[in-house]
Amino acid sequence: MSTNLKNENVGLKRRRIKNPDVKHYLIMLVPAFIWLILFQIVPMFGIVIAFQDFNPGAGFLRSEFVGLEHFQYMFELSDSRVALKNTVIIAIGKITGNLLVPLVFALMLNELRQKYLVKMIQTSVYLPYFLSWVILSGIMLQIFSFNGPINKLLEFMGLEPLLFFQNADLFRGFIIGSDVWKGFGFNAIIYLAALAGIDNTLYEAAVMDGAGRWRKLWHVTLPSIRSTIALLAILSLGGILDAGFDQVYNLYNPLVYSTGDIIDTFVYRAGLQGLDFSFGTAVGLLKSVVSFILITSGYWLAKKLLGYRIF
Amino acid sequence: MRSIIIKKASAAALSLALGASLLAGCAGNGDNEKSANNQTANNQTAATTDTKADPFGKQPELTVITRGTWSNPDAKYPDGQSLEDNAYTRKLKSDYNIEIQNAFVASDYPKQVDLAIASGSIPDFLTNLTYSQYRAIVKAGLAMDISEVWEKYASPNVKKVYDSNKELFDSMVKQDGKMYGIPGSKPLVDFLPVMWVRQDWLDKLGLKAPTNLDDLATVAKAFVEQDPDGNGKADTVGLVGPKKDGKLYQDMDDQNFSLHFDPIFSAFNAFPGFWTNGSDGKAVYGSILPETKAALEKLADMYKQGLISKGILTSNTEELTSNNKAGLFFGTWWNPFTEIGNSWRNDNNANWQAYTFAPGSDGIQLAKGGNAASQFAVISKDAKNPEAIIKMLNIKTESLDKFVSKEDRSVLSDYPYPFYLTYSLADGPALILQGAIDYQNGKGTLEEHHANFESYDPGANPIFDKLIAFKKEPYDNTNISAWDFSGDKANDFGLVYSFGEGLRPYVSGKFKWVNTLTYVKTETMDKRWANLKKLEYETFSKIIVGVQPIDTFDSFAEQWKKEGGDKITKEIQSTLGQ
Amino acid sequence: MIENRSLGSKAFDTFNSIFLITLTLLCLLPFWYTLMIAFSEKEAVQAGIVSFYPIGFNLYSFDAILSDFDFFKAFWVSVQRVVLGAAFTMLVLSLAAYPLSRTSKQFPGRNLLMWAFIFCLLFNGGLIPWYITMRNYDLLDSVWGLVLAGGIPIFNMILITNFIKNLPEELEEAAKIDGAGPWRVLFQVLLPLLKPVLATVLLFTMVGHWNEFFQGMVLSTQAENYPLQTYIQQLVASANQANIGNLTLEELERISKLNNESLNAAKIFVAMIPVLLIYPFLQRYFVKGITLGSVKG
Repeated sequence: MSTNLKNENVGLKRRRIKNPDVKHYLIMLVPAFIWLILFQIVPMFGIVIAFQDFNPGAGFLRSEFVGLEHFQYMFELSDSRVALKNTVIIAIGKITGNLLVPLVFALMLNELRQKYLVKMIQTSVYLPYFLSWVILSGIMLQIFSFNGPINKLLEFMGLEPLLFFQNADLFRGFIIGSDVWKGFGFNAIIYLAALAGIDNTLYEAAVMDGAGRWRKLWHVTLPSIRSTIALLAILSLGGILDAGFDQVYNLYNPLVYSTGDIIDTFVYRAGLQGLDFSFGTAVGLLKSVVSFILITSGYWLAKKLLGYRIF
Repeated sequence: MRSIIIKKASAAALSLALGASLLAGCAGNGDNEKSANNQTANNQTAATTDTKADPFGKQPELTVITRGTWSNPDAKYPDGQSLEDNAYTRKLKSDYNIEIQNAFVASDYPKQVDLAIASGSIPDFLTNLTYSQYRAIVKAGLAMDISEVWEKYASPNVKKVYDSNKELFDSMVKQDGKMYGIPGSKPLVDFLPVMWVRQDWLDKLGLKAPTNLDDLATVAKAFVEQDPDGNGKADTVGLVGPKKDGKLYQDMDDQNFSLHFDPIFSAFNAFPGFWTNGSDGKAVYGSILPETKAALEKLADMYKQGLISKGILTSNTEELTSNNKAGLFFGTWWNPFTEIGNSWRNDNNANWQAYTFAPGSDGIQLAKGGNAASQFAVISKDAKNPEAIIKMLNIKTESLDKFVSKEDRSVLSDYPYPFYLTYSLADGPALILQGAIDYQNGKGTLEEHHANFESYDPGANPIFDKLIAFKKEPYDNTNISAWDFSGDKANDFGLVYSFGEGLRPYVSGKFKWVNTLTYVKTETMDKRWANLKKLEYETFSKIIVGVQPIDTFDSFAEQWKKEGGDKITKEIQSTLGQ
Repeated sequence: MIENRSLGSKAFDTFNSIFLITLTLLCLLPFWYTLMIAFSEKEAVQAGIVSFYPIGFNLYSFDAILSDFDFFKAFWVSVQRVVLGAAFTMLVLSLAAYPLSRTSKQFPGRNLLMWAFIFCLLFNGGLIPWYITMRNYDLLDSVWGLVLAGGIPIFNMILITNFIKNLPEELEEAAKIDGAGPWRVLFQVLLPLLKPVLATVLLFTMVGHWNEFFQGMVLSTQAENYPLQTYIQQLVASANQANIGNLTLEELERISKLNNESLNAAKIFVAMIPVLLIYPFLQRYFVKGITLGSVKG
């Protein structure tokens, strides 16, 4: 007993000696945690409605529990399967595009010698990234409309007009393409930084060996930024169920639901407009769970394979 | 939100809400007279109910009522007036001790209502609810059982409108004998599809208004190819189709809108979106029948030939009409308030004429009957003064036009009126046109017509007067050249041309209603109907624009049945006692 | 540099420059086009003949914005939201990022807290419970609701913590030897060094608040409380032309001279201006901020 007490005392003392700052650290975290509790944790109790036949009049506490009924219904319903499929296809398309296009762009920009031009190009291509989908879709609906300049151009070239917002086959590609367009400049930042960090002596050595542009690219540049590419790829894993609510919501219409409806828009429509609050919450919850698992896996993969801690 | 579009049309229609019901107590003009009449009403009812039950009585003390409403960003109010504070609200406060507060004002009203329902708290009353919103509110136990307060406070004329369609209304707002909502009552004229055609284009190309599908195709083709506007450019279109997020046809939930294909479906005897009688005499859903498939095939063919405007369902196709790039569409009687008005303002020679489209040999158009009760109002179970809300409906129905000055009335569209609910007799607006036609044909004197309208609704008279004043001789010529919209009269184009031209197909009587067997929603429908409708809409749209072949229809029908359609059909059959 | 360039290499350089410049134009032209629509005549826009220069140049659309009270109201709501939101987020984040950048040896429980953060930010009860909560806090129709709703963007926090982790330990240790406590370390030693990442986060926060439309839509019960993006979203979603019959002749004439599309284009353009103005100035910081914040330096 007495030894235990003594040990504990020693333990406490040691901790206090070792970390006199912990108290202050905790104080610094107080505002963030108050916010977290009020705005994230409190609403989280609402998850129960996914297991209820939620009756707004009765509230969370008195609504009838129905177990997993909504989840079962979700798997029966063709719409939710379609939304899942679309989400994954669009997200993978975006992830691939957002990894490769900025890479190619960064490599090309890296080859450009006129510095003022580099600066100008960079500033311009970052622009779309900072604009909202509300704004951009307002513009795109105009440009890609039946009467818009793109179709005028196609017509001028003697081609059939393309109905981007009407033709379900084109819509998914349009969503992916416009997203890559929006972000490629900005997403190139990390590549450009990695490229700038390559040791110049490596290139000089390669030139000594008589390497031309392509061989330098293949044998020096790409291997040097390989880990950056791998890291970005792993990090984007967590986004596989995020196909971009703002973008799709502002661009889609019922004609392209079959290829354009994603989980988030489906949840919104079924949950709010369809007045089926419980069902919407259930679908959203499942998405949260899967996303969390994916992000955690990304974290471990990055740590195991690349020795990199995301946070 | 269609209701916003028709609000001005309804302003007139609403004032006719009383129809022929002539209560001695309500024919008076001035406020003094009215309160005197109220007194009489009190005395009459005192024996049976307590004295407070006066449908028009002033609230004993200031009663604050909260509501949700929508705002129209383009709304213009008379000087010093606003959505919160206008001639109506002032009058309600001074004469009835009722003050209105807006719990929410949204341009996307349905979404705000959905959120209010979700959070389990609604304002004292909500109007303009869809049937599903209404059902969700009742299911959540948020609505008040108004059976008693309705019985006590609804004015006789309000009850009369309700009773004019009692069976339908009862089936929708009563549960176990308790009344949970007030159904809006729409005039039937709203539901008749009107074929609007540019007569000047037809004349120029030597064509006649189409009466069958082949003619329709011929006219559409000529409009596309033969440069009807004569500007030397191939920039005109044929039949204008649904606008962005628009619907292909009217169904049980969505009615009274323009730019649909209903007359083409009707030509095939197809009534998609309605419950009709199957070959076995039992209820069957119209959208999965072969007739619908045939109509879709026709539409897809027309679209493929370029006879239907491109960009349907995804662009603001009504602008084609506004900008005089189109001369043919299926709409409603009130289109002169919207795109036809714009078209005329852009080109004063645009000669839009309204027709029925009746491909049958008898010349009778089959038209989907409308749901007179397609919008609902509820009173919150927590409302402290439900009687004040009922009184607002009484006031609106019986004496709205005595409320505010003529000048204000012409500017204040009726939706700022606190209890906005279309509440009208079936033929309301058409009676005015009929009156004007009769007068022009020498039937009845001006005084007699005035007295007739005055007897049940003075609001009809200004419209009647304008119809007379704006129409030039010869009276049987309805072309735009036979109307006078010069000077200030141009401001009334929408009103006069809607009533004077848009209502002609209705007044002609050459149509027959085809009604859905029921508007009731079953339990499975609450859950699955939205998805089934989406499936239907999506499939049909794709078939028409040609991204999916017509055979998709069969797999659609199968999927529809499998995903709840069969179950719902059985439920519907059982509610119909089949 | 090696000057010995082959013909192929020169050809590549030319191609490369042209390609990149084309790409740049591809990023700028949509905005130019929008501006041209806003400047053009209604008929020309309708006919779809406006491309890269205005047709029938006029300023009616911009003129109409000037007298559009609702537009300015929405603009003002957004400005308030950006300023208050940026202040709130910067304050909370700079305080929280420092302890969370400690190793678990320096700050036992750090990992737990970090995961708690990540977990809570990823999981949520969905729209309905969140809406009810905000309503219970009485944060509807309040700029504080908009400020607090997106209060702590997790990506930004990770950015700052990683940036701190990448700073040399010695600076902090030297300060500690001088007897500085954690507060002094944070405010006197770290904050000046964090300038690039804080500027980056500031930019993201401001742009994030400026661009957000959904919460603005859900949390405003009165249309007059919409932030600008929500206002524009509603505008684009429901082009409203129903009310023309209500107007006086002068108003009619003005309306007939501008149409929704060119007016909407003008509004869209004005809504872009703040972003166009601020991001180039912060550009030199955010490249550094992002690079050091996300990839081990």
